[in-house]
Amino acid sequence: MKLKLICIIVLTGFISSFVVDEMVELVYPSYFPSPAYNFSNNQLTKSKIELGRALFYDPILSKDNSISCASCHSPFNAFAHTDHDLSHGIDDQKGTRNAPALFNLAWQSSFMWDGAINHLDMQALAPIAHPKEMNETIENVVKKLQTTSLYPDLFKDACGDSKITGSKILKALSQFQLTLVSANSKYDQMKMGEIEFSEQEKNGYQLFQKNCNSCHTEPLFSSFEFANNGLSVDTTLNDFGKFTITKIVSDSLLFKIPSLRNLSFSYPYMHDGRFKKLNDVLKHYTQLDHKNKLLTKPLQNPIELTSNEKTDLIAFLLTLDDQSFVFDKKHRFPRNILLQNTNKN
Amino acid sequence: MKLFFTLLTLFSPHFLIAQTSSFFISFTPTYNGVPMELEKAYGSDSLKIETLKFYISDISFFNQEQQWFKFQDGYQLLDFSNELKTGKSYGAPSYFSYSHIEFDLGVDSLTNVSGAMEGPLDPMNGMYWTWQSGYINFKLEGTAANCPTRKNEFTFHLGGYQAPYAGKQRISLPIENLPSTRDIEIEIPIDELFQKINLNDNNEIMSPCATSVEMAKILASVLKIKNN
Ligand code: HEC
Ligand code: HEC
Repeated sequence: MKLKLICIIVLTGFISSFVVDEMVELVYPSYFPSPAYNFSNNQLTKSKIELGRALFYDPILSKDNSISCASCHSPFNAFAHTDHDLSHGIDDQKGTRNAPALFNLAWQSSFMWDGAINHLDMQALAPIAHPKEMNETIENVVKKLQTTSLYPDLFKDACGDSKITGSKILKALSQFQLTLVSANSKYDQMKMGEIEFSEQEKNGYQLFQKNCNSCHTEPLFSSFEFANNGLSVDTTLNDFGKFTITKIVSDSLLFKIPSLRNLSFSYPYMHDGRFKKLNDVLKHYTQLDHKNKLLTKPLQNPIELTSNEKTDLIAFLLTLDDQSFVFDKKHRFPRNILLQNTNKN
Repeated sequence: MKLFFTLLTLFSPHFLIAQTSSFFISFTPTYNGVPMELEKAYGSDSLKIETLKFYISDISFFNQEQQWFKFQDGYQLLDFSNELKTGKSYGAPSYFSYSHIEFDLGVDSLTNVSGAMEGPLDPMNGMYWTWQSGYINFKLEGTAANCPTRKNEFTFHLGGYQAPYAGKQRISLPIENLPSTRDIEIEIPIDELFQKINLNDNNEIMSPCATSVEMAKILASVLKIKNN
């Protein structure tokens, strides 16, 4: 009897040391395309996602421990930054671009307004190293995390080894961000046949399909291509978009087409946050200068909208707000982990 | 028995290698043929090197134009921060001989778009650009009296994986006199490299561009086998 018990204990110990972690499948609606992210190189697990969430909210990633990813990407703004047109980083320094909302990143294969980053894993290096954002190096983040009482254990739980590396940090941050799936807006409920659109929303949907869908393509509301939507160059910033990275002249003034989900939460709009209201955006699209040869094709035909049609189009855009995403507790500041950290230190 | 042996040779090259002798492939930065120490001044321009780091991979050995052997051991990051010469040991059967070698200097485009990786490719090695994706294939930093910059510093971060600014170079070096140890010492003649670039117009490369590709080609052209 005693022997049997010991056997069972040994066996469970043996099994639990193998079943390190709970695998997590990314859940998304059937009408979404397959994700672009290659999960086979970074299989989602419960503890890696939690580790990534802790890192995302922890200012330890910045030089003076003052700025976290969430300082510029707040959950309540669909992970954008609404107070500022241009982002604010360390020592309250202003950046040159508006912090974009973060969701459905698993379907994107180039990142930043100019496509500077080719993989979600590598994205975090940019804000960490940026002198006006977190002004830190990944080498030093590794060193800092290794000396905390919290992180070596979290990495051990998640990766099976308490030795922290740059790659593990980046992959964990990806894991958390990959779980930021926004797919439960009124539009999604309509697609699932759970609800019906009002007459106004239906009309707005048609106007959208006619005028906007070629770039802001359903169901993610972006083709994730680069385009020129006719914004004039802000001469205080002189931002030429994709050209900055590729140095190919025809890429000049091309910016990544952003998703139109969650617009109520993620204002102000455009790469420099120049528009505060959706009305301003529609005004821009209906007053484009059609002599501008740089405008991307579909916009070379004028968009004409009556004021009623504008209202309808906005009513449709608002069906893309996803409250359940924005208020999802799973995406918030992980009190249980990070406050325990402050107690421990 | 015969079958068993064939199977072994097929499936466990390591078994074979373990039975045989090893040889060393090393890289040495030199000035007028003399191994260079970091932080030490050389020549009339007091050329000093502070950082020298680069990636190599895909080392292949050829005998009379036929490929003999290829080491698929991933990327090596050679870092001269504490040493005059650095490299790696390889094991191969003792009858294994070669008349020229080839290798990649830099990181290929597939690896450049595949996300975070461990070991030599971990971005914490300081060989990855941050504001823009891509590995730095080759990093050379230092000072020279004739360099018209603040503190006479030059900074060359050569990389890029996308056309037209893809920087990876395939290096091919003939070996005239293979020593009996089969060791190969590859020289990076820094003096020759600096003869071919003009520090007045080219002293800082921090992202992929036409100049970075041009310089990667110059670098590839000066590499040579010592005592060949
Ligand atoms: C100081 C503000 C700031 C901080 C801190 C910050 N970001 Fe950002 N983030 C931005 C801005 C601004 C952009 C757009 C940059 C660009 O286009 O050049 C951006 C872009 C992104 C993107 C690309 C989104 C897309 O759709 O292309 C991701 C992902 C992201 N940030 C994640 C993070 C993570 C993870 C961290 C923490 C390691 C972080 N950010 C820290 C301001 C910030
Ligand atoms: C030719 C492609 C194209 C078409 C067609 C197009 N857009 Fe855009 N849209 C873009 C690009 C590119 C941006 C980002 C521009 C920038 O910031 O420089 C953008 C940005 C936006 C933004 C800002 C989103 C944010 O998060 O900052 C909104 C809102 C928007 N578009 C709405 C619309 C509407 C409504 C229509 C149809 C009337 C439309 N767009 C048609 C390409 C297009």
